[in-house]
Amino acid sequence: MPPEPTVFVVDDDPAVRQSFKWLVGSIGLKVQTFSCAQDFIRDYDPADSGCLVVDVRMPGMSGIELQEKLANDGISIPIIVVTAYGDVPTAVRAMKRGAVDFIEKPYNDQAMLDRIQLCIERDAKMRHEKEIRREVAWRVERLTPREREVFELIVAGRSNKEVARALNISPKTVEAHRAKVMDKMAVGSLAELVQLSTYLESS
Amino acid sequence: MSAIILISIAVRALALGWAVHLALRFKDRRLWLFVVALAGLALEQVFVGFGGRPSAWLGQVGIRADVLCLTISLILLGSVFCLGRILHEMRARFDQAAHSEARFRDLVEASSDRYWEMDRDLRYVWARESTEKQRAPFVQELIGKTRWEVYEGDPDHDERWRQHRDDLNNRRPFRDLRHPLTGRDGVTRHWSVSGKPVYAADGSFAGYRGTATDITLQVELQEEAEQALRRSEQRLRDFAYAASDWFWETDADLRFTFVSQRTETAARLQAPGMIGKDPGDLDLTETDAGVLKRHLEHLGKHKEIRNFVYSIRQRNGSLRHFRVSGRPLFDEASTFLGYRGVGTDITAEVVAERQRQQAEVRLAKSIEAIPAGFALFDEADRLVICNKEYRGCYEALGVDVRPGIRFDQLVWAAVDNASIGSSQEDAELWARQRLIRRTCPAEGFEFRHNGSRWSEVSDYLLPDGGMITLAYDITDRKLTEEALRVSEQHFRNVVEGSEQGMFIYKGDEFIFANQAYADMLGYTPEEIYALDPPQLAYAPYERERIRQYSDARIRGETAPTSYEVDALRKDGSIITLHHFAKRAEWYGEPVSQVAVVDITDRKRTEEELRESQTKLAKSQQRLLDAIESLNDGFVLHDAEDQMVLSNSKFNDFYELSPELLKHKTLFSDQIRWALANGKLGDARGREEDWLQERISLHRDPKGAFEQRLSDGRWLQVNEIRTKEGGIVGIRTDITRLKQAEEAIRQHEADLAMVQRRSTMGEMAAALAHELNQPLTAVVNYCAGSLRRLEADSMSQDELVEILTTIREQAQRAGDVLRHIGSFVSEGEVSKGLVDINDAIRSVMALLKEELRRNRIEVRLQLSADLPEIHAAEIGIEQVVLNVVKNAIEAMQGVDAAERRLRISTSRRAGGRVMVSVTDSGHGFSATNGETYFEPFVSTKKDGMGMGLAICRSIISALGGRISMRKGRKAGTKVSFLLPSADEAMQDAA
Repeated sequence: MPPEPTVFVVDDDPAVRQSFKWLVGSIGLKVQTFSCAQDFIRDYDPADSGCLVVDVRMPGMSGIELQEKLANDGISIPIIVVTAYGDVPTAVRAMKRGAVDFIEKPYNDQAMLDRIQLCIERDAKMRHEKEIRREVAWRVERLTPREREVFELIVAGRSNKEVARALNISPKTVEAHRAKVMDKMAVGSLAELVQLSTYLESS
Repeated sequence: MSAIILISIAVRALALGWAVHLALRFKDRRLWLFVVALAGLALEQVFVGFGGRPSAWLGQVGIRADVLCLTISLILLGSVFCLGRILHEMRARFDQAAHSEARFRDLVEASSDRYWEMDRDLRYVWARESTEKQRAPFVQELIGKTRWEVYEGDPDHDERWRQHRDDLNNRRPFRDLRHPLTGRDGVTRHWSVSGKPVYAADGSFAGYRGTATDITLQVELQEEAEQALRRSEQRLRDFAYAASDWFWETDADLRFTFVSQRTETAARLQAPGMIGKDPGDLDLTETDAGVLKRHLEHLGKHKEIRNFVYSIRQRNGSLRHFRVSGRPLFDEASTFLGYRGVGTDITAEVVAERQRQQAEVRLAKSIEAIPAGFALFDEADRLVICNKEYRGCYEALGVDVRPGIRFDQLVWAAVDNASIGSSQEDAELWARQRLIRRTCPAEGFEFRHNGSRWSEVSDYLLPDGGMITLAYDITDRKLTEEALRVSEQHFRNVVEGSEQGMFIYKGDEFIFANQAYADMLGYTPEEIYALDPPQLAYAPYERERIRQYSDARIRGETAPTSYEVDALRKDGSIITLHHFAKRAEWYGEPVSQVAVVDITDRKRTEEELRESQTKLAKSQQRLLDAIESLNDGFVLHDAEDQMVLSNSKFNDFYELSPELLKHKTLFSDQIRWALANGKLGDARGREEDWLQERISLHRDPKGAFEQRLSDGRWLQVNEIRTKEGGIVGIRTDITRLKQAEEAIRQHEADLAMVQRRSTMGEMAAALAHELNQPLTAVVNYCAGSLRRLEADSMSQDELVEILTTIREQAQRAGDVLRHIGSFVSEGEVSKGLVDINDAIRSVMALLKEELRRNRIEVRLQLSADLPEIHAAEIGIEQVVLNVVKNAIEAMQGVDAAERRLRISTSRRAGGRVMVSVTDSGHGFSATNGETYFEPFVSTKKDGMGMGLAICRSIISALGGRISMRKGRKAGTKVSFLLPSADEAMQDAA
């Protein structure tokens, strides 16, 4: 995972691309520019964190089309759609399809930078959660079926006795399974276990 | 020069002059020869006289003198010879003239006894008696005297001499003036003188010349003849006297001057008493007044009278009749002298004639009194007399009947002229038979003539061979006979042959029944008679009734005369009969006489008719129900435009008052009412025109049309002419359809708006994008630089580089705007001369569909003499398009009838052109009139505010002006003034 998030910019206008790089560069963020959507699709690695700033109005593939394409491909990089006068309905349509944000040209530079920051943070958080989810899932995989049953009942808030009755096993056995689950899931407390289980449920 | 020579020259010249005179006088060419010779001699003498030597002088001109002299001598000789001849000829001519004069006088003398001439003073200058009547002394006495001095005429009193004197004084010719003249010898002679004026060569009166003829002998002979005439008259008188009872004469005043008499008549007439009286004085009271009047007229006009008969009552009271003839007498001067004539006593004749006439009249009257046609023919079969009746028979046939016509002529004329018998052949046959019958008269015979007349004719032979024919008109008798025959035939037909049954019925038996009656019942008449009781012919339940009726009728009581009854046929079936019964006499006994009609079929037919009428009524009712149940309004007017029927739906539409929905209401009354009550939305504002159009359309339907009611409903009216000339009107409520159409139209309008807006939005978006790109770049550069400067992490070089970039981007933004401006105002098209009217028409054609869809009434008032302007045609069209589209949109909220668009062009001073577009739309608020020309300012809810801005930039680019103000009543008026082509060129230059 690259430690440094990148701001990807797709705009057909070179002046806009250059000036944007100049602006974003002023807050120390790494900027990578593309002159058209196709270039971006070709070069972009989903593992790269950061955000995408794209103009709605471009020759060839428009910003909206690019957003749709990325959504279809399961690439979830946050997108800031830059619109101009008259593009608002289009942008609204894009928002409903899951675009992260849009901003109207000519924009306030601070607002733009704030949104970039926000998107980068959101991307980082999203990527982090995604990592945890994958870890939890991997740990759950390692449980035996009986341990899985016990895990689910415990997370649902049942006591050992209740679990023993539900599974028609002795409470002692439940205790043993519980210990194993705690061990395999690498948590020390019930609370930690329940927290991990939320990632499992949401996935 | 010697005197002798001079004399010689003079003599020769005189001779020459005399010769020329002669030549001119007598016009004889030979005399000119003489002239030439003398001229030669004269010339010669002249030469000699002047001492010349002619031979030498002539030698100089090449003529030998001796030859010349010889020639002249020869000519002289010839001319003398000619002169001799000429003189001889002239003598002969004079002799001839003298001879002619003498001969003339001889002729005159031979034709008359005396020849005379007078000078201009009318005095005798010359007179000559013919030889054998030489009376020289008398003639000598005449010379130098005037006529009045010679004769005993007295022009002052005697008409003849006065006339003569006038003739002479007026120089008129006169002829045959007769007068006696007593000569010296005491013998009186009679002369007839004629004369005529004589004029001299210069035209002046020269006197008279004439002849006188002794007519003594003629005069004497004439007197003798007159005497003979008088003697002859006397003889005539004597003759007349002998031929008649008396002879009479009157004077010019018609008074009797002479009445001869014979002894017998004298006593009766008292003829002497008539002397001195005129015919009017006689007592002619017994005379026919008309004859007398005519007679007196004749006398007054001096006409000849012939056989005038007059009657005079004698003193003894007897009436006598006289016939008088006479002739008027005139003298030579045609002066009426009186009458002369004869008279005869014709009393006996007149009496006999009157008796004869009376006898004839009596005969004629007695013949006329005969009630038949009567005619008497003589032995040669010629008509002698006939009466009016007889004549009438033939005159009716077009034959002129007159005495003397032969009977066969009458007959054939009748055949030719009229129809006797059925054909021409018949007629001729009839004529022959008629003539044969006449040769051997027997009893009378009948014949029909002239179509419908009948005559019976009898001939009677008279002992003297004549024939009397009597013709009776027997037409009436014949008609009566014919009527009787026809009536009998009818009766027979009625009773026997007719379809109608008939029977006579007495108490309890049939006395008579005809075949038809028997047939109705299926019996023979014999079987009918055999029925006992007769009521067996009727259904059992009818028998008592029949019997009662019959008995009552026979008893003379009242009984039904016309009734229906069921009869029983022989085969047992029942039929219905209708009886017409009455009481009658049969050989003195009362009977019941009944006429019978089989009404079984009729009853059935009636039944069927009733059924079919019921069906018809039902079917009509069904039709009416169907019409009533129609969803559409239905109305039927007949050919006279009177309403036959309508359904209630029809009335739903127009809400006519009940009396206008009655049968026979006129269509025009209905439509007027609806109009007057404001039911018809279409007609608003033009009621009278609308009414006329509507009525004429109704009379002559041209297919379906739409009609708007005042309540907003729409009808489709479809009128169709029926075969009978009526009009069926179907009215369908198409309000929903209309609304749907309106909705579609609105939708289309919305769609167009959306399209237009998206187009505009697209354009604005593109514009915004174009501007935003450099602006964004500028903002980015500035913001980035600021942050770097704050962090102090930016070098001088970097700053310069960034600022340069920023400037470039700002310029780029300016370029974008400039580019847009030129795009809108100039365009890429080149300018040229533009006809504004053409541009307007192009735009209107482009917008035609949209205008129609929006139901906008367009009025173009394009000036014909517009100058062309210098502009880009597409730009002008763009302006007009924008303005008109604005107008269309502005009128969308207005009632369709109020949507009016007016475009006018006019020429202004200096070749400028003014264009105005006026709409009747919602207008605009007064405060913002000018601001609409700013970009992005709009009156419209959804407007972009670009249209008028573009317009202004185009018009301004052309050097013109555009303005907008409120319309006079409502709406908006946009006007733009365009500079003349010259101004535009100068600006461009």
